[in-house]
Amino acid sequence: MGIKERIQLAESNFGFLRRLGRDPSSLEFDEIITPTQAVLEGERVVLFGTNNYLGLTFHQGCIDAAAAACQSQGSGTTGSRMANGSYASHRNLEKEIARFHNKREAIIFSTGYLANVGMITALAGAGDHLLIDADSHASIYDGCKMSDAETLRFRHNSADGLARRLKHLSDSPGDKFVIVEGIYSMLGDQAPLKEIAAVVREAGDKVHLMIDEAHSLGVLGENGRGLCEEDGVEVDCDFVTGTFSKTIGTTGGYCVSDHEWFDGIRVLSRPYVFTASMTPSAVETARAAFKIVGSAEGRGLKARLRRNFQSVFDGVRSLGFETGPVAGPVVAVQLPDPETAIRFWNRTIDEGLYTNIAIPPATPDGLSLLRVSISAAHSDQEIDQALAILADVGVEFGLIPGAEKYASLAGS
Amino acid sequence: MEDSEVRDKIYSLVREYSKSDKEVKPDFDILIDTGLDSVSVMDIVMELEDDLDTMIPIEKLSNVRTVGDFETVVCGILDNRSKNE
Repeated sequence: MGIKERIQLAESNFGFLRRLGRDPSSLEFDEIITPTQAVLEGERVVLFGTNNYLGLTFHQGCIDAAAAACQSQGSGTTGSRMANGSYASHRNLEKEIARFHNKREAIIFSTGYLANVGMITALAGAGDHLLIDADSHASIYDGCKMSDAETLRFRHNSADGLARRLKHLSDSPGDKFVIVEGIYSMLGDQAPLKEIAAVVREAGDKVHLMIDEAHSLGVLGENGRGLCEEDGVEVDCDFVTGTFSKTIGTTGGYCVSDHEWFDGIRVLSRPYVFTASMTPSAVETARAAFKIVGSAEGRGLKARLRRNFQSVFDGVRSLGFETGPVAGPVVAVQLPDPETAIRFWNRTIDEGLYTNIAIPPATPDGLSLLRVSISAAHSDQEIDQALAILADVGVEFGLIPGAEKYASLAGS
Repeated sequence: MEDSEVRDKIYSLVREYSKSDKEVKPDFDILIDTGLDSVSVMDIVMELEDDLDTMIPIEKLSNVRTVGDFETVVCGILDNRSKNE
């Protein structure tokens, strides 16, 4: 298939969306007012689709740090760290992230996507195996595709499926890298990390565990270090990756590890070698944000976030919608089919609620989802507003029982 | 396992995942003609791995275009395994 045919095929999917209303890929906000409020098509919307979990994008400390860095270090680094050298702030951020995670060393990448691609391609070479959860993020799949290793998938969250595949590989001499995520971005469910860590541990020292805490950083664990901290298995996680584009409120990504050879990844990782490094303002924003996450203020924000996502999760379920299995910063509202999901998403925007739409093949099990992400910055009124819009549109579409459901919820 | 049994298993999985009773043919494009999407194909791979107690690395599927190509890859993996046993 030629390039024109492939574009046509890809466009036809977006055409389907456009025919039914807005195209999420070309949505344009007129104004972003706060972490939870924006203007879209001239109308005010409440934002429940930003992954801005602690609401740090408008934190004065982060903004001041970014502005000061831009003034003192300039607007960009104009090259990769390998070619142009590192700024002191790159190194400082790495030291601070390593300290935050209680790991020996950190390497930062220019985006979260590149952190996964950069780590996977550097770690696994010819003769090695990558064993990934079937519901892994595209950055993990793409890293596997670019790596010289062979990739095997195991069923989502199946420690048994992983164990069976590792058993098959027990005579294979190469290294094996098992890759899972703390919180999966579509359904908001968590990896059974204790079981997976146990399987990896029992499989011997050629088997290594990498966890992507993109959606769990600053959300799970007493100190916000993610699912590995929450489940008490940090020591089993050889490589922990994360992104700055969710909780941390800027762009960039990282990996931490205790391996003494970890620094050598820099020379093996082409996305590290050949991408311009993080801008000074993004680096200083991340430094300020990590300080907040590790402080009493951050713990307060995390507690607020947890309270907020529990309210949304319980509220959505009380209305009669199906969701993912556990409350978390992503609440997936299940809708019957892609067409209904697109129409539903459009109607909720009309009513002033912005969320994300997720339809097959980007979703697990062919589900059509309204992906609602919750922030510590959401007020009780904003949560009530979002639930009221979901209730109204849900009733309008005949997807949930009558409005009395929401009335009883609001009154409880 | 005979190649014909592998073929039957693949065809039956294609019908199951595409939710169609339509006859499956080896020259069918595995995405366009079957109605499957790329995620369903990967799910069929996992089903086969479990059913046939084998492993099918993703990279082996990079040149698969038709149902017949897919069958050839799976049979090739099984043949290799029996030669090595």
